Amino acid sequence: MKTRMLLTALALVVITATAGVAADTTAVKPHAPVAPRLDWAMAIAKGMNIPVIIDFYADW
Amino acid sequence: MFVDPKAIDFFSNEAVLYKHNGDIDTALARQYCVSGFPTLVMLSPDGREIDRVAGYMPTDEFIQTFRDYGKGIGTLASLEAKAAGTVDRNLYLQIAEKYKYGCDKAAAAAWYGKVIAAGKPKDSLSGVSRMEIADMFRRAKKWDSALLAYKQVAKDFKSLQFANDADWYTGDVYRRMKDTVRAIAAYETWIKKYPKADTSDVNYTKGLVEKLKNPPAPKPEAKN
Repeated sequence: MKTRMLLTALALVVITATAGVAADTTAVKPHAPVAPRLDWAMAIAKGMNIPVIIDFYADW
Repeated sequence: MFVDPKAIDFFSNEAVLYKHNGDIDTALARQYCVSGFPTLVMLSPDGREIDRVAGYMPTDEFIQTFRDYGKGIGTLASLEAKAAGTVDRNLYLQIAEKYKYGCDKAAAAAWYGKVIAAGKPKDSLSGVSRMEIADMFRRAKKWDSALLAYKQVAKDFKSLQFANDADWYTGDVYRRMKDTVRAIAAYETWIKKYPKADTSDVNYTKGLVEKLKNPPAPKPEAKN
């Protein structure tokens, strides 16, 4: 149940971002879906039995 | 890369992406021993590290690499299994490189050591490995060990790029040690010794010498 809720939450984040882009084509390009927290990412990965990839980046 | 439709598809169906600014929130980066950005760490659904990629990679290569990792192809574990009972210096080097970007630096040094032991100390794979070992000492701030390792590389690989690099990094070690006099001497020696070095490297080094000779004045203390 928790996993399903998390998957729904992530899907909503993606849909919202995609809808925002669709409304303004000059906006940021569509981006791969990103889990907002690592524990959510892990829960989704466990639920879907797929891996998590952490992208460690820096702004500079 | 994450705006590429192939990456969007990959992270919609085959893996969950979590992005972490390791420069601002350093705890997680330290936990995973991330030493440079970008670094992408792949975890199994139960949280075990499967493998990682350090540095930039084209999207197709990135996706293929992580798909392979998911199947156990090209991972550190699979390479170590392949290396058991064989003498393959290129494979040893691959394993050492993987350890270098992870937490177990001692294992990286051990595998670089195997590359050297299985060949001749002055051949090119040994040169790569000896420079990597020296660099690991430098990054770990083991200054004396780093200086000795660079000195030996410079001596054994005269007229080769390894010696050029080793001599330059000798200056870098002194600079990091805040031994300004020796740093200036090492950099100036490098400039004279390698007149055909890349112009941008020479200019950069001259700039470093200039800064060391004329350090910026300390900022005045703030008043209450």
